[in-house]
Amino acid sequence: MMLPARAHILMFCCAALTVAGAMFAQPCRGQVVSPGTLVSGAKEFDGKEVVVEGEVIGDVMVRGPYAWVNVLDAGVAIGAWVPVAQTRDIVATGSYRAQGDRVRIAGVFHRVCPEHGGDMDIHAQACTKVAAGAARRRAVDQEKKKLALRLSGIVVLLWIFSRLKNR
Amino acid sequence: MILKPSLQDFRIIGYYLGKIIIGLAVLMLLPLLIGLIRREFNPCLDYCVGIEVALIIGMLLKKICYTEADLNWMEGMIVVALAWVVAMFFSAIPLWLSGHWQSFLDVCFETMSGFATTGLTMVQDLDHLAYAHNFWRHLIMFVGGQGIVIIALSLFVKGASGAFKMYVGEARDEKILPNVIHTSRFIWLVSLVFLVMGTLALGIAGLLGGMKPFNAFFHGACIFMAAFDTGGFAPQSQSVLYYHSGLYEVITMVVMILGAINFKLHYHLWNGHPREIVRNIETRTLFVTILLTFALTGFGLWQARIYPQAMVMFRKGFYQLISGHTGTGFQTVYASQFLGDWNDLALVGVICAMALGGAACSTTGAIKMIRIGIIAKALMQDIKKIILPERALVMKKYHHIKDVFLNDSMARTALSITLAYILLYGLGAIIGILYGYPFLSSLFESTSAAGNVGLSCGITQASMPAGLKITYIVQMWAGRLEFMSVLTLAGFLVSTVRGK
Repeated sequence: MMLPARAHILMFCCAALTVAGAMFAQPCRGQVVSPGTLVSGAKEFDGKEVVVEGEVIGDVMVRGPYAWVNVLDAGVAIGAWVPVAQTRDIVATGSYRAQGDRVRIAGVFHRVCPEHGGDMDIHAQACTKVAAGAARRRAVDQEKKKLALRLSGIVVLLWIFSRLKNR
Repeated sequence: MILKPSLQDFRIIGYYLGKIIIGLAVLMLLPLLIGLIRREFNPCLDYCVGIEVALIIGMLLKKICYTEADLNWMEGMIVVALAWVVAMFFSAIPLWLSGHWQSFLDVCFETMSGFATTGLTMVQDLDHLAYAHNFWRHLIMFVGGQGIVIIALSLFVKGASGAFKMYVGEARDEKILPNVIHTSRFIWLVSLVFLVMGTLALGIAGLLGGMKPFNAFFHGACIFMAAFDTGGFAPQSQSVLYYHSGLYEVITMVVMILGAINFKLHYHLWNGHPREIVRNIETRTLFVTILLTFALTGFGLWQARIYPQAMVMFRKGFYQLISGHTGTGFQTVYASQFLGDWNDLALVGVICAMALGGAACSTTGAIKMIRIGIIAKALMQDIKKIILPERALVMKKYHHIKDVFLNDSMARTALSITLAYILLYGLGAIIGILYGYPFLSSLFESTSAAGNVGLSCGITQASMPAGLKITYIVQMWAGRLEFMSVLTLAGFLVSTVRGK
């Protein structure tokens, strides 16, 4: 029995999608992975080109023509060895007072980097800012303020009471 | 017949606890100051609340339980055991208010881990924690390393006899100077001098490594406090890996070893007796156990073929081993790498190192070198007795500041404490297994908690069962105080309920 032409097209599309899916399922260039995935699946990604996205935390530590940029996503941070020229766009870094810039780093992942004493790291080929960080405005918590004031009243009363008793 | 404790016992205990709680309130002024400098107003309020609660309870306890009586042995031990529990609760208040911990139990875990200089952590989003809170985490480690009671002794306690009982209760049975209050002050002097030197060294290493000046010295101070007090907290979630610096690793290793040395030995070195370091049984034993445990870890890592170069293998393996042996817990590998990349032999090497610990009267936990040295000497003495003719008199001595002849009582005490630690490690491991964790990782984490180390293979996290968190808290507490004061407290509670 001959299949209609539409069925052939459908089957071809399915096959193409399967092949494409299989290709993207492998850790390879261009796939965005989280630092947590890299750390937990380090063997699988070792020596491969990866793309990591995350918030820059702490200091950008410049060492000659390169800099260490620590990138945090979903609670796990990893260090990336980035050419200094590509870190110039990084303005805000994550701390109590600021949400750091979000960067996308493409580079080679090392489970054990021989150049850096065996650290798990990424040697970046490209580092681009995908979202700007911002200062975190934290309003004074009024409930805490009230609690602190009330407690200070009790402390003062207790102190006065103890002084009077001593006399 | 068990005697019920008198009202006077409770009053003395309450009075001294009140003093210690007020001491904690005074200590909280330091993170408050850091918060003001950094203009972190909500954390400042957290400390205001913490200070006020501590002052209220401390003043009430002092007033209600006022007494001029001095402590007896039992009361001294109980004050010490309870001081660590109340310190855990009161120092947890400001951290709890920060919202960086999932539950109050998690904060209590954090503060007990800090005071006991363990370094296992439950904090969420550490990389965005306020400077004030980060400083407090490290400061409680610094205070816990010297001993909570040591502060009280230095500042608040006048009677030398009661002071000595509290000093002994905090697992420090060696007096450096004839007067225990002078001993406490000497311990603080050593720690503060090293704090300045260590902060400068780590701060300069941070500057050379590209950190901003304030951060370099702030991190330097925090990392020094955690390293010298063999604690292991770090200001960033990646621990020492954050710095990506060999120089930082070398400096922290030196500081960790300094923290693992007996304060009595520090005293002799300060007074110009460098030969003592070569002759002392503790340093000799430490040297031998480092060699032996590193042989296991190194061979394991070589078998696992994870590190392609010998130098890289040495850097990673030796750092984690020294961190474990000194009871610090700094990591330059991720927790999951211990189980994923290291083989069982390498892990066993680190577990043995964690179980052994550093010197007595230092800031470390675990079994300690003097006991290992004494047990080894006693074993050799017994072997000699078997080999030599029956009439031969076999005497064994060891050098610890002075020459000491080994006797059965010393060997028995060393063995019983060692056995108690091994039971504590095993008990925690069994509870871990009951919660469904594999044997080796349960043993690793349990030894880390009870030996006050802080290395983690990934079990310790906010999502772990509450029962296991409580188990580790008790292990950290009992391990740090070396059982005696904790057992005395247990006896006191039993006699309160069942006594006549």
